[in-house]
Amino acid sequence: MSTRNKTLIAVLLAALPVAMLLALSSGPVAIDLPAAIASGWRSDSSDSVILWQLRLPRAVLALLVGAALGLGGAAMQGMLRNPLAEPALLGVSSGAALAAILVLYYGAAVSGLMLPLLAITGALLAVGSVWLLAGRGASASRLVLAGVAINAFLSALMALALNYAPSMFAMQEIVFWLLGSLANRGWDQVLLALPFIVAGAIMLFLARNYLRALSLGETSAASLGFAGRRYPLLVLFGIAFAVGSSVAVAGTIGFIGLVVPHLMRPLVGQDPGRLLWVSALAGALLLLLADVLVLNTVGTQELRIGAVTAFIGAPFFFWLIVSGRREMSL
Amino acid sequence: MGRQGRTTRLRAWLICGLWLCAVPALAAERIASLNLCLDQILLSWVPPNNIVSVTWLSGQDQYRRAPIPEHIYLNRAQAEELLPLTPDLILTGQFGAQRAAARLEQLGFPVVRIPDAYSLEQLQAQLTALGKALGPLPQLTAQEKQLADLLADNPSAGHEQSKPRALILSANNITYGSGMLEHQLLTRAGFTNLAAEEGVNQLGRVSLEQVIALAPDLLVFYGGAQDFAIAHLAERHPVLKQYIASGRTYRLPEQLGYCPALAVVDVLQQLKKKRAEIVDAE
Amino acid sequence: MSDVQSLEFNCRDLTLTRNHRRVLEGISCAFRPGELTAVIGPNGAGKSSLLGCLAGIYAADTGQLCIGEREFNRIAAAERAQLCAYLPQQEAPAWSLAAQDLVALGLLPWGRSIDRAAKARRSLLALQQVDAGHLAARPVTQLSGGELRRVQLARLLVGDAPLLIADEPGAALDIRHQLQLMQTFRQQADTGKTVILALHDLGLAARYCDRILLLHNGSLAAQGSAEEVLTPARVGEVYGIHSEFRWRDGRPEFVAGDLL
Repeated sequence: MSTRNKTLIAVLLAALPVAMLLALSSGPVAIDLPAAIASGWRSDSSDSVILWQLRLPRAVLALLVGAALGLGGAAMQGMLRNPLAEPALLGVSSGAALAAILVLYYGAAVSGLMLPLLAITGALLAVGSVWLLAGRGASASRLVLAGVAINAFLSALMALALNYAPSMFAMQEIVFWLLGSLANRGWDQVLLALPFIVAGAIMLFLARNYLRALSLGETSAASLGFAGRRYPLLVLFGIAFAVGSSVAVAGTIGFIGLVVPHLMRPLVGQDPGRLLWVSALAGALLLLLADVLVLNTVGTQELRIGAVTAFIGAPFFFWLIVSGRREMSL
Repeated sequence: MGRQGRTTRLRAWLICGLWLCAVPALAAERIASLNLCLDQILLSWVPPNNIVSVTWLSGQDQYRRAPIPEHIYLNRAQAEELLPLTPDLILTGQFGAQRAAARLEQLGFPVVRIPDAYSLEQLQAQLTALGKALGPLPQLTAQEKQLADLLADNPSAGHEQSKPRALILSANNITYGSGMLEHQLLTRAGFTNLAAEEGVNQLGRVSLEQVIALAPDLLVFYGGAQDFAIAHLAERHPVLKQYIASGRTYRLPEQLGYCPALAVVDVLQQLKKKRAEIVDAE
Repeated sequence: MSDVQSLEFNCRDLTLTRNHRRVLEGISCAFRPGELTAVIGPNGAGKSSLLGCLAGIYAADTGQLCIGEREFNRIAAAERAQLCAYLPQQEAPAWSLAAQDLVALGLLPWGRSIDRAAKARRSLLALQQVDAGHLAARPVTQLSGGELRRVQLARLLVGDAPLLIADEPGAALDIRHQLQLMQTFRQQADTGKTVILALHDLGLAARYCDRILLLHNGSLAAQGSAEEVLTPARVGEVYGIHSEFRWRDGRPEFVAGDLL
């Protein structure tokens, strides 16, 4: 890793607290931030309630979800040896969203933990089907085809499930599930997602050397000591845990998992192992900044955050296709 | 046994007679409705035997308040559905089902358009129009009178200094400002509507941050939150726990939104009670 | 190259089924330290399958595979990878790693027991060993086929494993680098390693290898020295070509002739 790349990663790290301060000072109400921080967690003043109960959990959730999506994208690209892989693009997020919809709109009686657990199961089924349907080491086109098919199918099921949901608002909420949102989130959602995202991150950490070995292909990876089902399963579960639990609380936020690993790959010398952590860092930063943008431009008129990330991501995707056609490296 | 049977029969005759007296001049015998709110009004105020059809929406769990008698046909606002029922009065709203209404009118059926109500004034006009179309129904006249009484008792004059502040937080962070029926109800009940103070005209959005910053004395939710929806996420946010715990909340019934005629009087009474509680607590 | 463990590699009665087809049938053979063994045979004879089996990529249906005294399949995956390095016929890198980083992947089985600086140093040495030191910083996706193959070869050698298995290692190389490659493997064998190569070029096999295994339709058609295996009759039977085996200046030479 060159010093220039190290500096860039240090800059990303340093940008995190700055973005955090930006996020904490963004919102429809003007608050006295230093005073609110000074008055502490337990204070009853409206400024500190807004800071500690509303803005901080939302910002923390943005960081968590962004990190999970960056991590999930990097792991998925590494596992499928394919730069086009992305949880939202290939239906993993839809799998999680479908499960979350079934739990939330139909299973009111179930306990809170069921939501992330079932969302993780949904994500796992979706990522597993992509993996099986495309076949291991599949070409980019085959992979995207399989992913798009699964994504379309799951999105249709989502619409169907919402259509028959008892709530009057259900049908309009397809937008939320397809684009994601961080509005009105609190510490309860953070606490719900946090343990599962951490668990997913640990699994992917344990699989980092497998992802490195996979740069050489499945056979060589097996000859380097990564044979058997254990490692692919570890990655699949890691992705499902990280992505599934973040979709359960924030909906499907696309493109972070695609754009971030791409931008970060050169910074870590293309190493799929270190890419995981740098993508988590950059994903967290990107989603937090996207949320700051949402808060400062549209305010309570809540443009879905997924729309913002798509605005950033879609042109990037076009660029990827065009440059891929030129370089043949895709 | 015999004596008891006789009393029962007597009572039955009496009730029949009372019915005849009470509904002396029901303007129509076979009434059909093409509008959800008018459905509900008919079902609540008109004897079921005089209703031939209401819309299918009224049969949905969400809107049904009591089982709908089997002989009432659930229509989907198609003219041809109503033809064989030969209604002698068809009620429809200002909007929706207009094509069916026009068609039925062409075919010579008596169609009456009842104006929608988005304010107390419009509500009075609606009740008058209903009275004209249906004749003097006892519950209708009672409702008209109650409403007039409540409106006459205008508390805003006397209690300038102790006006608790209220804010509506409806699904999807929507709040109701000036010009809305909900605003009128709040002010009539003796509250200041914070949304209107903040310059919201008609509908507006209010974030949780604003709710906390404005710190209303009464936080008013709207509609049922029993079914999950992301739309209700704001009111489930833990930051509102203290409001709910301290009882400083009120929930407007969903019916107020689509059929205020049936809900307004109750809501106004409850809001007045709530206001009294808050003022007493202070 | 120090601390070379000298291990004999034995397989007894190996059979393997892939995609519902029996690809290996009752293979028994031994690979001794210090020996360079060529596995030859026409396309589809089972060379890659045998090598894959030996490297632990495919699990044999029946049969036994022993390294030294130990049964190969009982050894933990990471240790097995430390004992046996394997280069498949095709290995397309998914990411544009620098050549040196790709070579360092060959040290993954050692995990953290080799520190990062040592990994970089050893990778560079391995690259120099295959005449590719100048490629160290180049992204592997920008290398030519032959350059990439040499980098992959360095990846095979970097771990200094006592057992080296390579499938068609010289396929994409020019003649100079093919000879260089065979010399490298020869040197590796001479330091006491067990080296197994699948080869198409019978000339190279005859010239450099101590032993030759000839596979035909998944079975072992012959094994032994080049002179014993590459008789015109057997080559004719298996490959369907005329050939000649001769000695020239004390070196074995195989010359392919016309089709039969």
